[in-house]
Amino acid sequence: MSLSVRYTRGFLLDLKRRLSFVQRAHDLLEMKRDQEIRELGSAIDRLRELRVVLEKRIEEVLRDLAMLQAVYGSQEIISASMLMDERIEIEVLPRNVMGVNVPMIKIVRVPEVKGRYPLHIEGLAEKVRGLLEDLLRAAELEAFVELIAEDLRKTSIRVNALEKVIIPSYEAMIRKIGEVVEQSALEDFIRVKLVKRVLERRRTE
Amino acid sequence: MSVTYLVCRVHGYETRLIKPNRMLELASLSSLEALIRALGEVDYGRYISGAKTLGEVEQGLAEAFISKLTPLLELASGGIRRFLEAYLRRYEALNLTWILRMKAGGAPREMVEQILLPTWRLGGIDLKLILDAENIEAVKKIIRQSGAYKISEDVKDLLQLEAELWRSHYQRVFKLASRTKISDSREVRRLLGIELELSNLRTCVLALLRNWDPKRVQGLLMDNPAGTPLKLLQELVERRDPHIFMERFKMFRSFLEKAISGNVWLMEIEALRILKRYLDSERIGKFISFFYILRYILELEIEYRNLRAIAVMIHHNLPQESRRILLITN
Repeated sequence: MSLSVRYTRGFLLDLKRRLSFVQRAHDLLEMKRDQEIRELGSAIDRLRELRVVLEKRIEEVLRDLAMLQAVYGSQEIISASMLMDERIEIEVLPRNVMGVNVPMIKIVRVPEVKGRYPLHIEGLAEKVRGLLEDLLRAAELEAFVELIAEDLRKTSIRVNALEKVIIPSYEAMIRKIGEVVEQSALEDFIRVKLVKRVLERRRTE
Repeated sequence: MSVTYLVCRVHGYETRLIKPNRMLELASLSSLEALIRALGEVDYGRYISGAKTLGEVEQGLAEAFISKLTPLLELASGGIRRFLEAYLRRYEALNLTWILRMKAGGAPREMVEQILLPTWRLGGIDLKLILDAENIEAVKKIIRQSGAYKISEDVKDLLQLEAELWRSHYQRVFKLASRTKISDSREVRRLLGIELELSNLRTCVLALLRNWDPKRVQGLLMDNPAGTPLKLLQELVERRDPHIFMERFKMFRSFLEKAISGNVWLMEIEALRILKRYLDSERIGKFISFFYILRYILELEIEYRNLRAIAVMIHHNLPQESRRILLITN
């Protein structure tokens, strides 16, 4: 913090005004940090739950895939996978959460699986389709957690900087300037007293 | 060459098939390298010794499988040869369904070529022409022109097209089975009938379980001259209840149960087990019987599928109990 210090009452008042502004900012940032912690906690909980479900589903899909591949051979799986010529369509929209832009995935269209695959493959295709939607949700949630966590880190640094460095330095400066101003006021008072006494002595002589 | 000579050779070939115990031992191996080494000790060695990946192992096994079928055609003559050629076109039909799917998905020629069974050694359509075809319409035209399969021009649905290929294949095989002088034509027709029955039942039950439109399902069914009439199957499909099939086809209950339980892959295994059981249960009085040739072909296919399954299972490191379930050993 570079500030050209002037030991004046005006500067002292200005500094006090600044300190109260910084303290308000600190309080706001602290509130933001607390809210971010809450959001992050709940998002992590949701992500953890989703991951458990996702892992289970991935395991199931991989098992089915391995079984089908073992029974029908890779040719059947490879050729059947070519039957889907459409792609999943998504839109990634920005969403503002406490000043942080997080992505929101909007699934525009998921290709229909029913009736497009051989009957013995359709079940697996449907599972993979469901899995893709879950993976997108997980990706959205992970991006949310990552961005909020990064912002939380920055907010914490700011709160700590205000709490541990800026506010104490302001307070120290105010204290010092206050002392100097008070000292100078006392000196002035004594000086006036002395002058007054000298003037009174001269008048009586 | 005479049928007698062919059947004698088949009896000889049968002794080379891998025994069930050995198959179980192979299934317990832990790496593809170990499998390649173990198969190197038998006549698969020259086909897969240089394989490094699962794809290469599968390719080698397919090569070996087709190579083991070719002598049958070389040794057969006359009507028997024509029948066997038609019967073995099932692998060509399989290739055609894969080509159609991959063409539909716009896969490059090399990619399609890699997955095909080398069925050109068994005669049939020149697959190079089909591979070079620009689109599905061109493929359909070549197939139609070959005269080997009857497929209608206006079929757009790929699954319907696949069903037409298979329908045409079985029609041809049944026709030749009744025309050719085969000593055991009753058993042969019965075997083909069971095969078709299982295929139709699979289509019906799986489609109903997945809520397909009955009209579409009916279009995928095949006429079975040695099994349940198409009309009856269509009527059962109209009732939209897969459990009806369980009650109606009690002898295939174990097969249908697999679909209801959700383990679709086990249906295929059970289908092959049923066919094998039928082949094993039919005691042919004579040592020289045409039926033995079909039995050998099925056993060879089972061996090929078992080895392929083992390679895939090792690749995916599936647990031992799952490996045993997927093997057709009894």
